[in-house]
Parts: sequence; structure tokens; C-alpha cells
Amino acid sequence: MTAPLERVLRAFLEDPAAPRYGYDLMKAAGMKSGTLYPMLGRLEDDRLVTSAWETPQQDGQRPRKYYRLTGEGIRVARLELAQVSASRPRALGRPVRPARGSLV
Amino acid sequence: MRGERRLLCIGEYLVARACRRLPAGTREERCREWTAELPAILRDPDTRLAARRAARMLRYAADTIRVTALAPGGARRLMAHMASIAARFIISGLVVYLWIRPNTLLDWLYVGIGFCIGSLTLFASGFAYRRWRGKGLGDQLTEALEARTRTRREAFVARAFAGPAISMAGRTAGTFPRHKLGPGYRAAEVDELIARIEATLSGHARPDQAITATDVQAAKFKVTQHGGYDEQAVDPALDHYADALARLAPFPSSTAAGD
Repeated sequence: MTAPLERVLRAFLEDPAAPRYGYDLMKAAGMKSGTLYPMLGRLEDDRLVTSAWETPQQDGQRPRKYYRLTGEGIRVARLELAQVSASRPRALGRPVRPARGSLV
Repeated sequence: MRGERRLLCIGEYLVARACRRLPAGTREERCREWTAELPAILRDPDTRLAARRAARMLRYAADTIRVTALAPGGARRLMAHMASIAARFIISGLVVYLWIRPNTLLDWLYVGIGFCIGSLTLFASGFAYRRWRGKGLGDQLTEALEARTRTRREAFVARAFAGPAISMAGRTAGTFPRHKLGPGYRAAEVDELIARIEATLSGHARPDQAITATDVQAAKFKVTQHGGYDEQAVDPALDHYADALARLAPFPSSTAAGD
């Protein structure tokens, strides 16, 4: 998984149910539009992300298009990110989670 | 914000230019999407400085052109576009050169002036033609080129990247790093738990297999002294799984997750 894709998925997972606009994602992931949109397109092709149009408002604003992870997308994104953080070298001296408590 | 209208005009012009290079199927929708983002960026409440908002909006609009280069056939379209621009310069230069046949310095000056005027005229006439007919002279050629590239590219993509954007390979049980020496979770137990979680998440769990987030959080494993899974890899993964399970029920009703 590439670093930009990881950032986009993290941005999506902050609140999986919230609709995210293209510009929101650009800000959250620190990416340019030229990188983000092709990526969203690919994710959409794989049915990990869905998009929909806002309902038109009264104030004459153009409706915007928003993106959201699908159920499958949430699952895949979580597993991917879990895998990434598991493969990364961890800071030394981090305590083992006491909740699972098997190892001390 | 002052001058907002004018800034939006520039942004929309850039987006329109970008969209012109997109394949016909997605052009309309993309154009609508990008144009609707522009005023939203200009009125973004998170960015205080108006000048910065304007700069962001223009950068957004300009960068959409880069998207079109990545669309199927986009690179070739871009090249055709560049070639058509270069052709105008070359034609006007050649015509003026052959007409004047410069010998003296003054002649060369005339060639320079003629070249400038000639290329300007060619560009202006191309622009006028597009306004008049609604499309440019070389558009048909570019469309044909693009169609050929698209079929070729699709075949290539289907062959090379058959699979999802994120590879799911090795994502299931048995993939955690192991501790050769020293304590680790017993692999078989972890694998079994992961299998149950996967089954629940994918909706194919038998009734006795189904598992909840609380079960995952409370799960304990026996410890083995060699060949066990690294607990620092397993624990975060289980946290993510538990999170996913916790959200499984309310999704996709956004009202439940929204508040």
C-alpha cells in the first residue's frame, strides 16, 4: 500500500459514516487534486468507495459530490491499516496491553 | 470576498480546460463535481486568510489538469494537444521565412515580427473556429487516437492489475510475525479467532462461529515459548477487528453512526 493511499484511508476511517468531499480529503490527507481523484476513481471501481451527489440547496449553490467507504471498504481499509501498523517497527519499551493479559 | 466572481471564473476556465481532455463518458460528471468544489474552497471556514483560500482554489483547479493526463488515453491527448500548438508556431515561422528569405539583419527582424503576428493569427483563428463550431479542428483525430489507446490500455490493465486496488493477499490468518524465541501467542488459537472474525465480518458465519467486538476485546491466548505470534502485531490487529465488528451492526444506516 502506498503512503498517499494510506493517508486517504485514514482520513476516511476517522468517521466512516460521514460524507467526505474531495477538498476535505485533500486537506485531511495533504494531497493534491491531481493525485486524489484518480485514486478515488480506482477505489470506486473496486467498490470500496461510493459517491453520491448532495441534494440541491435553496441558496443556489451547486450540489457537491461526496465520497464514503462502503461496508466492504471499511473492512478492507481497517485490515490494511492494521497490517501496515503491525509491520512497522514499534517504539521500544511499549507496554504489552494488559487487557489481554496473557504475556507479562 | 472581493473579486470572488472573477476568481471563480478563472477556476472554472481551468477546470473546463481540464475536462475537455477527459474521455467523453466521464467528462460531464467530473466537470460538475470539480466546479462545485471551487466555491466551497473559496469559502472554506478553516482557512482564515482570503488570499490563501484563493491560491488553494486556483491550485486545485490547475491540478485537475494533471488528473486528465492520467485518464485512459489522456497522455496521448496531451501530446496531440502539444503537437497542435507546436504545429502552429512551426507553420507560421516557415511561411514567413520562405516569404521573406532573410539576408540582412533587418530582414530577420521582419521575420521575427511576421512570426509573432502569424502565430497569433493562427491561434486566434483556431479559437474562433472552436467558438463557432463548438469543437476544434483536430478533435476528431484526438478522439480516434484516444479510443485506440483506451482499448489497448484496458486490455493491459486487465492483464496486469487483475485485482482490487488494495491487495487482499495474505490478509487472513497465519500472517503475523512469529517470535522464534521468547513468549508469543499460540498461533493456532489466534488463527481460529481471526477465522471467526473474518467469517462474521463477511456475513458467512455459522451461528456458533459468530463473534462480537466484546468477545474479541476479552479474548485471551495461551503463551508458547517459541514460534508464537508477536503480541505487538496481533493486539493492534485485533483492536481494528473489534472496531470493525462494533460498527458492523449499525452500518450502513448513517443516522446511527452519525450522532
